[in-house]
Amino acid sequence: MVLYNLILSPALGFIIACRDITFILSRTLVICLKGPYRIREILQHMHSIGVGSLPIVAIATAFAGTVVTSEIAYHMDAALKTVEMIPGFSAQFVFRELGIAIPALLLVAKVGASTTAEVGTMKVTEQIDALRLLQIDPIEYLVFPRFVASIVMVAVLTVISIAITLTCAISVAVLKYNFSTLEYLNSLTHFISYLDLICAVIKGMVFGAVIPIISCFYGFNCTGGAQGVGTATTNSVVTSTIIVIVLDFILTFAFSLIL
Amino acid sequence: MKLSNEAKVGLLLFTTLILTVVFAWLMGATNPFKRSVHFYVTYNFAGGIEVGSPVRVAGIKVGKVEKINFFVPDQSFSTPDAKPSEVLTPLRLKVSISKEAAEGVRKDSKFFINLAGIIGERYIEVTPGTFESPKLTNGETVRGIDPPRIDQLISQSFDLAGKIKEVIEENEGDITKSIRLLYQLSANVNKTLEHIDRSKMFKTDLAQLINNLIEITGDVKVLTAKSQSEEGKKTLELLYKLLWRLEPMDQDAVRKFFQKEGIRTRLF
Repeated sequence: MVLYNLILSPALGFIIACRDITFILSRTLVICLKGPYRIREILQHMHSIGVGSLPIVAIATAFAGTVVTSEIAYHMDAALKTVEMIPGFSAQFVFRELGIAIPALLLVAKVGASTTAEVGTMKVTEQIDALRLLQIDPIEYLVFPRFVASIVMVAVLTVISIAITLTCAISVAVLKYNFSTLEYLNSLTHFISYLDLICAVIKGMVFGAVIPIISCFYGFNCTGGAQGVGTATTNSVVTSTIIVIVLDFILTFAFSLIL
Repeated sequence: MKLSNEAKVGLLLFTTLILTVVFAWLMGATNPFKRSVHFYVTYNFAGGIEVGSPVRVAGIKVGKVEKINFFVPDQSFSTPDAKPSEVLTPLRLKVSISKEAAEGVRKDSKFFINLAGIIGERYIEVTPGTFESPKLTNGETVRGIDPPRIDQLISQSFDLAGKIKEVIEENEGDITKSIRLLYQLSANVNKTLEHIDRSKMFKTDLAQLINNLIEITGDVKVLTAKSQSEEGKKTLELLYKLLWRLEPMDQDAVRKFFQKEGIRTRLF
């Protein structure tokens, strides 16, 4: 019994969760290929995810860019007694990590939580069952538009956050460390190539795909009223965050082989 | 004016598109306004140059390395005076440079691979050619100048150090003996110098000798000055004539006379 409670039950739960997530993902991909494409819903979610999250992403990445550039400069000065490499190091960090991970994690917290809460509430109030009764596929109606909107908008927000972070990094380098903007941009090209931006966008798209799938999975499996919705939301955010970080590691490793 | 949700999404997507183009331009991936020409430069050793490395003409960045590939050139590519080892240049770099800068790149321009900056960035330096030489045209292939092989230099230094070690080990006895002898020699020289330094007599003698030398040089100076005067010149001339007159006479007797009288000493 102890063995069952400690190992078998969680393992079984994990396997079932993986099966369900795979089913949701594969069904969504099939809809991506076959349709129907709910353009209005997709645009609505794109607005909610992209335009709605733009202010928080902009503020967070702006401050992150400022802090990271200052930190890099401080440590570089302490260890190497020079700050000449600030453009290269800060730009590389922005393009490969900061500009991608911060918006993704913010969207996990904002969009993931709201999606799980919304779908979870629909589940506990039996609206999803009602959809099924009306011959409407819940994945087609709830997951697919969010999936497409999230992929596009996380990629978009990644590019915008890279631009904002880079602008702040340039500002710090120019105002505090007497670099000129052209000098910064010129040094940047030695460290960053266009492939970095492509890899960043791919990473953003992968993270964008993870958020709605995990959130909807927890929403669909929500039980027990308001408390259940709260628990599902928390679990969704935690799981999505971990998956984003693990995928970040895997993708960074994979891209390091080609960059 | 209140924008609709769709318009806001469109605006966001449009902004992202513009940013992507700006990034692409910034990183040199594309520039719709740039007019450039490309050449192929071949090397035996590229010294770490990479795709995207800058190309400079007369020290100014005007282009970049577009592509690097291996190829086997035919014999027609080699120059007539090239040694067999110089014929094969297996690396071909496609470089693009701006049209303005390409005006100065001639067939006799040199394509060096140089190192710059704190991070040791590699770049291709193109020296402008001469007016007499024809322009390098789009798509033409030229031979670059291979950079020095630092790795080879290091390995050769290791080889040299090994040989020196071998020589030392083989002649260890002789070398030790030579060093010992040198040590003894320097000790002896040291002792002698110390002895000289301590000897008072040597010091006084040496001082006397120097004083005498000073006096002699003073006298010689006066004599030389006098001989340069009109009177001195006349005297020398008369003496010369006198000697030639005496020449046919008994030379031995004259010489003896002069020696006895000490004239030679006084005159010369």
